[in-house]
Amino acid sequence: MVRILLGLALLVPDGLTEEDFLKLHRDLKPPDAEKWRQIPWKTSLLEAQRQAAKEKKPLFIWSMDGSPLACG
Amino acid sequence: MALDQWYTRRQKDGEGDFYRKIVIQVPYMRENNPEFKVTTQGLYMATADGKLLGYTNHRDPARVKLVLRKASEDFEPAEAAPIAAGQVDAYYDHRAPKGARVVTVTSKVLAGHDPAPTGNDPIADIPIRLAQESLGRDNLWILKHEQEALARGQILQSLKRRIALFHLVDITQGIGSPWDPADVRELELTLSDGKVTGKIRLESAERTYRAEVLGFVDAKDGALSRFDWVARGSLGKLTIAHAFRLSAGTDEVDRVPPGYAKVELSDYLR
Repeated sequence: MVRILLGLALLVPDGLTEEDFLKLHRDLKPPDAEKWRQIPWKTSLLEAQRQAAKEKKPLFIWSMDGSPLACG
Repeated sequence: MALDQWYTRRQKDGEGDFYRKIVIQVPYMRENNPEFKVTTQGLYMATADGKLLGYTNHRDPARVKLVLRKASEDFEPAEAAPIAAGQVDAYYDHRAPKGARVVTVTSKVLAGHDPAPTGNDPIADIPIRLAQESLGRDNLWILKHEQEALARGQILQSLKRRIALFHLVDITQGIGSPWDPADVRELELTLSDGKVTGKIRLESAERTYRAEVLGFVDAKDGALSRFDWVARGSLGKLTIAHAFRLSAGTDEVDRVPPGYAKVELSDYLR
């Protein structure tokens, strides 16, 4: 019986302390210095096209299932 | 630029037309996906008038650099007419409702992954290791009336539902499935003096999620000024944490719709 109760207790998530909150909230913040995020990505293809046309530069399109900027 | 091709390949508007014009020039797409019925994901290089310069769906950095280098060498600057936005396909135009605030949601698996491969194969090993360490990212929309309720010390059921069904998922390795309303077994979130505490339990035939929540909310004159939450719990054998952070709304990434808004926008906003 004690084993069953202990087993059940292990299945229940521990409560979060404010210290847990601070650590997790900080650890899950995307690093400020991510190199790929320093690129001035556009999310509108037509805005990117207009800029490419104006500056006479090629377009680089990162196309994914889900937004590359907000998915994994 | 970065786009979610789930939308763009389907859009019946100028943006969709331009995207498909580029994609169909890829021999693989032309032969196997001429009607864009399946994914068109990949890295494309093109001119402003829609001529394809290069394409790859590889993750190997060396292969990607090769394609980029070749495309850059083949590119010749030339005049191209800017394409006006025109009539936008409203069905796929998923913008935050007026007055909504964007909350950045990040997620990370803290423990429970199978042992990571130790090799350096850019296909078999490195992506798996990276995915296991990666941060999932998404946007949550908090609607105007939900913000007003938070300012009064209330978390509306609609907001609880949206967070539980569409954001307490594992997207660290790509898009999975949202929860179904029938999966909600416990959704207890309480706001008192700016502090949020709660317990969540979601169960389906395939997966189980249990978590504790702790967070802080501030609102001044009815306007949300802080929404910092953390949920930590178990998703099957994984220990997973989600963090919520109010965005200023000025980053380009704030324009990206929530990942599951695409499934059914009205369901997401309900």
